Amino acid sequence: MKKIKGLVVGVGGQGIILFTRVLGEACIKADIPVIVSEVHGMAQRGGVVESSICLFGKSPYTSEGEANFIVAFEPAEALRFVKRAKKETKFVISKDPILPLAVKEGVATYPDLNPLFEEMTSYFKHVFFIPGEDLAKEAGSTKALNMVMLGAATSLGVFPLGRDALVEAMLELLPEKLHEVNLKAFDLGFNYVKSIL
Amino acid sequence: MHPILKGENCKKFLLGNEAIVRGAVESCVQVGAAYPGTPSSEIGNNLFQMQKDLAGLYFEFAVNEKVAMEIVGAASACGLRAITCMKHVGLNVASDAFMSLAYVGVEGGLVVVTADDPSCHSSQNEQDNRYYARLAQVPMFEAFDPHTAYALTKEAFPLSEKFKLPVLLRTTTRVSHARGVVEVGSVPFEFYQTFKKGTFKKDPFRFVPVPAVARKEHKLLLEKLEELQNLANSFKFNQFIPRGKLGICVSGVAVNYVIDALEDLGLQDEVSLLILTFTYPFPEKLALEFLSQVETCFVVEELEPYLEENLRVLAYNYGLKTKILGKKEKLLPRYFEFTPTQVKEALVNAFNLKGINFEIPPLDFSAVLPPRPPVLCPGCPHRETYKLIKEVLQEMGIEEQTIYPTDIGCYTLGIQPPLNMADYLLCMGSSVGAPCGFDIATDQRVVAFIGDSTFFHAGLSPLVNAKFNKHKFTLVVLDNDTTAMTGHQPVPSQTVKSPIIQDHPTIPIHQIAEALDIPYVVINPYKKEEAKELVQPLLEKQELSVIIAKAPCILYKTKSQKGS
Repeated sequence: MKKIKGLVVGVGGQGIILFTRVLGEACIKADIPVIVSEVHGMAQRGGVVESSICLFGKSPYTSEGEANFIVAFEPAEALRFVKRAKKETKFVISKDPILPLAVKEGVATYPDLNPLFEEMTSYFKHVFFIPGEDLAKEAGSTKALNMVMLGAATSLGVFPLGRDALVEAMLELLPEKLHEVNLKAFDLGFNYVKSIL
Repeated sequence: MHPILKGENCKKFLLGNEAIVRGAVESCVQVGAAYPGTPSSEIGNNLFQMQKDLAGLYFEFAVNEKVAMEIVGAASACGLRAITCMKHVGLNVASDAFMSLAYVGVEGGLVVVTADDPSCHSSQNEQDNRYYARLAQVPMFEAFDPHTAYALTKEAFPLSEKFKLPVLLRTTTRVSHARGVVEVGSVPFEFYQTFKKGTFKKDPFRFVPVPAVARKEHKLLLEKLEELQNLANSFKFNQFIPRGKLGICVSGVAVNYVIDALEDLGLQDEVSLLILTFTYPFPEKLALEFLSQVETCFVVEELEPYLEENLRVLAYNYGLKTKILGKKEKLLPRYFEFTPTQVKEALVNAFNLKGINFEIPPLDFSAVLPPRPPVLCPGCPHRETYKLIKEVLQEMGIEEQTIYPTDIGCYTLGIQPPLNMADYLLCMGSSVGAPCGFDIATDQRVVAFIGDSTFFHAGLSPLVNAKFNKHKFTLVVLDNDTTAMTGHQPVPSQTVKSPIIQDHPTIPIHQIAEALDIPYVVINPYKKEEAKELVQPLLEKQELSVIIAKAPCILYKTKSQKGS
């Protein structure tokens, strides 16, 4: 199988690690070679967080011009990582901004993203925006954004695995009390993308 | 049961650090000790938690890496298998003990994990600790993914025992924090049912390296190295894969990048490979075989040209004409971690491959995107302490010229505006040693900041020095009840403890100031006005003083209230 490389980006504390854990466990069950990288330490404190995914290959790092897909939990972070993509890269982007502390304190500005996305989408043809926060809330918790995004990415067909394989891995990994919310979040993301494709 | 212990003879999805833990418990490790430090922390965290499931395992968070090294050294001298782990700069702290351990040696297998941090993801430098193996003259393994981290850990214990030497196992952030497929064996639960004590067999002419002993031991060590080199040549995870006349010698995470790049470039059947994991003593014979079969050898390794220099010396010594390419030609840099794209480009350049294009989007939004430097958490007590001390100094009219030595922990983020309260930092504990120098060299006021865990790690002895040598400055100890930065490991002053160490005593920091007869106050940083009144007299007086800002880390508080 040809290598599939991906990137999950966002802001520290958004739960990106669970996204890659679930995907990885699902891959192991399906006997798909998988390696991901996680961010620990200082960057978790509200910093930019990126996690690389590599299926059928060896490198735990998705670098410039390599990503087959990019899942962004925050829109500005999708823009930050465009160089990792290539023309046919599929983007799944949660459209709700998270303002850095510096912006809240008035020492930095958060740009108007519309013209930037216009420029971006004129180069990349497969960019999908998700109302991530709304869907997570609908599922029962804003913390479930990670599973909304996982559902959305699965629906887009960026993994060589279907819904059931990922849902099974997710349910095995999470404690039972979190099953309902996360399953709902996954399916809301999954069905949202299905409806816009 | 702890998740790392679950399953046998199956595939697990493990972090590099977790893979080391699994490898260690499959190898009957009995004693572990460590001071936390990214990117090594998950090794200690998991061993600490595992004690609940394995009665035969003991792990402690030691106050610093040197103490941890001494603990595992002694445990190993009693015949028990032991492990310690640290970030790269932690080995600087432990190096004194480490160097002597190579001389006096070990009995039970001893593995020392050094987790290096190319790109300084969470460190003050990116030193290449492979040179520590050469300096101490102990065998070294380099892992390149979670599975090799696991497999090499299992190889390290018997090797250590056979040669009675500690084995240095080196990872990097990208290996420690990569999560990948590890094919595990089984955990010897029988063995772990009780803690089996060893015996220390007295042998002062081995274990006490007075000069006469040390001289004898150094010779012995060098003899062992020769034998170890033979083993490195035939080590099963040192792989020479002969193909064409172009060759690549590689170690560490770059192994993955090279293999993927060769596949991308369609060269997987043409380029010879020398993949090394046992890299000290350098496997000369194997490398010689490789060098004699290729015309060009490109060396791919992060940070220092460690393999490269070995290969160049070897080629010179044996009069080989093989063209060796690497850092000397600036094909790859000596700084930062590599990226797969960078390695692929370097490979194209090194081998003069034509007509290969890299498609990188001609877009760059970085100039207009807001930066997201890591910040102190919302509600963090450190911010309150910084703010109130800044205010008092402002009211005194000396804030701008005050020097703020800082230390290693979350509170180093005091460097960010609007606080701007971090002026000088070298290493763990330097916030207490450096002010002694500032006190001599300048009339500027010095207010230094150190965390509770860092204070116990390397702040105690410089505080004694400050008192004894009559230095004047104020030390603010940010006592948040935990080692926050690295994931809430225990600290001797903590009041809320993990159930595993529930019966351990609390060592309050103010009692240390009291014992040293240093004026101190204990403040609650959330009670700003009250705290300002308490600290003002100390900041006004030109004398040595200690301010203990006591309030739990907001994350630790939430976590411990949830009972996790």
